[in-house]
Amino acid sequence: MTEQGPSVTAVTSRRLHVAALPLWLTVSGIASGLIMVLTAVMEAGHTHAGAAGHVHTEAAGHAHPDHAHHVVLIIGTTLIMMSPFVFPLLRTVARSTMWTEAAVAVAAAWGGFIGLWCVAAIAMHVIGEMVALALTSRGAIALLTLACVVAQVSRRRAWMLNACGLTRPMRPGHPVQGGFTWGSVSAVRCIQVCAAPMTLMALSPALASAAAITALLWWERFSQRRRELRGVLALSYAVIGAAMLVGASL
Amino acid sequence: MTFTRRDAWAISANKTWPDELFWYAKGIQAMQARPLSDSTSWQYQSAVHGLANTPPPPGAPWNECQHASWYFAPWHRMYLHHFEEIVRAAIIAQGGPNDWALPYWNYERSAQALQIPPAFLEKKLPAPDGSANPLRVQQRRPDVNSGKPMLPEFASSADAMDDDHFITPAGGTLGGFGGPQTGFHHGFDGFKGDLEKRPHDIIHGWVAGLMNDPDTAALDPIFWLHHANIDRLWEVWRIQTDANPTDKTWSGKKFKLRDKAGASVTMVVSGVVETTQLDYTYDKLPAVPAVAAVAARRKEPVPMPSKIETIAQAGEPLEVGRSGASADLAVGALPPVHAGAVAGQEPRFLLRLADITGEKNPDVIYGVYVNLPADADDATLKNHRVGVVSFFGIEHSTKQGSKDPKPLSYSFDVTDVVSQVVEGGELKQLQVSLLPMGGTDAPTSPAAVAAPPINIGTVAFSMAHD
Repeated sequence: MTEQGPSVTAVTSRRLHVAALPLWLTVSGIASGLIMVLTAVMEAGHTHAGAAGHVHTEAAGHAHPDHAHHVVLIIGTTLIMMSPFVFPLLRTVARSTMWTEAAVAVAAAWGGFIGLWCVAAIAMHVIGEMVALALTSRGAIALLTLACVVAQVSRRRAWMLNACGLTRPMRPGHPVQGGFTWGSVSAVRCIQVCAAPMTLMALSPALASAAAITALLWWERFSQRRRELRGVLALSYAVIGAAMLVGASL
Repeated sequence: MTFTRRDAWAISANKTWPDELFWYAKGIQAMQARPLSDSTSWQYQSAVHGLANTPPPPGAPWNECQHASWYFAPWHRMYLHHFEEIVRAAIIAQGGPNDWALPYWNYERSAQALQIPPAFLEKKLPAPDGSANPLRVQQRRPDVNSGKPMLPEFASSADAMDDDHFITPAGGTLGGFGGPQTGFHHGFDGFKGDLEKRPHDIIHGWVAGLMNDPDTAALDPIFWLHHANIDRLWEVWRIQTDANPTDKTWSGKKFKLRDKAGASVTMVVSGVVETTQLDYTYDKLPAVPAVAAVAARRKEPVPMPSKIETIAQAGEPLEVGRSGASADLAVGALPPVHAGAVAGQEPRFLLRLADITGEKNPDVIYGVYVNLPADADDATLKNHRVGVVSFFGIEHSTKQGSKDPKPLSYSFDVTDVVSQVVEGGELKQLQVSLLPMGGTDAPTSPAAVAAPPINIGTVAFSMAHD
């Protein structure tokens, strides 16, 4: 008994961490995202304030830091928005992997999901800017708002949302590969569902529109009345798009 | 007026053609004569459950059946109610009884009731009518159409009726009578409630033919008697447990159907939780037990294991052909909580068959066995059997015009079997076998025989504990 005591305690302690890992990673993701967003906003404000006095001499030199702030802002925003979506995935991965490998698999799934989403979010911003260049800012907002509305009433949307929660087989001895693949595949499905609203948000990263779109995405994903919500959500996106158009015109 | 649904075998005791089944056949004939565009037609009503490869007309409530969902029982009750009214109207129009009600097939009633009721085997309606009998469907399993009884294990509702809670928890743990919490769910992916797993799915598999594909099942007239029995079992369970969900998400859910006049109607779950709300009852229902007895059976809150950990897993997917298949699992040490469990709160072991895909149901009903010895006799088979599966809905795991599958999942409580192979905190051996039961591997149709193997992506054992 004496010899077994410490051993069991040590393993139990590790196991408690594994059980809590999905929630811990989710909360950490949101916290990290908040810090990144705040840092980027403050740094950008500081840079712009400094640049205002040296616009002629240092304007070219500030282009690179602005891009860096923008990327940090995008990643931070993505962490805040997508971390709640990753929690049910991580919990399922934890339950579906051999208990001795669950922690590694969960971490790999988190990396696959969040990593792919961050890359996709940056790509959405680039695409959003390209569309805005081609159609003007208001044209891009109108086009993406229409895409959000059409996506809501699409017959395939219910299936796509359901697919976000599909499971995958895990194999013993391959927690990194299995977890990363599961996280990445889930991210791809999630990106397909959220692409239009996220790109719309990228066009006008105002706090109000970002918060409204985030709320709609969370509401849709976690509601059990998705079918009934389709009309309300489509209308909500139309209203947000209209507000963004008004904002862009001012 | 309250209509009474009667046991098809009770009314068939002394005659092949009781009035209820004769007029049911006449009602079906009338519905079958109507075009698909008519919502009171036989084909349209079947399409409400499911119809592949045909887009629905605008506003038509096709492809609505709810499975692997806590709406399984209430949606099918709504569906049967309007179907019954449509048939009754067709019967009355032909001079039949105005109190006609849909009979039910109580396969657990007796050894004889394990056969399909005799009217479903006749080739013609009784004289002087003499027309072709619409109750007979040629595509069924030959054993069914020859009057062979199914195994009693296929018809058993014991797992479901023993449940003291309605909702199937996430991960398929702890059974659950009615299915998992979902939104609208016209699909078969995810875990199913115990009522749906058996007898519902297994009877579909036993009858086979049209009945074994959700997109054609309602074209077989026995479908409706089978589902009337499933509906009756829910009513019996409700009376005995008073444990239907109280969640407003469930009770407030609305579904659209078409009524006997062809009009669109919206029904809400809270309006169908008792049969009397729809003006019908069953010929035999248990008396409402005393409040104390209900409370004693119902456990509030339902104890849900907070942790589920995988303790053994197959290294490869399991390909299940008509003759079955087996998998040996990687085993090792159990989580230490197993050794330190408090008496009365011991962990429970679950077998999880998940990520299951297939293109066509092979019409084989499989027993699921754990650590089955070679050359097992009937008693040994029974002792090692932890469940029965028929893979009803497997076609939906690969179609719907998508490259992504919607895999099926099953879980079984295997605590008793696994507890026998735990020694010193380690698992000694775990083997899972799926073997055909009751001669169901005999050919039913060329398509079923040619069906590629079912692929079970995940074969794993889990430990559930607080």
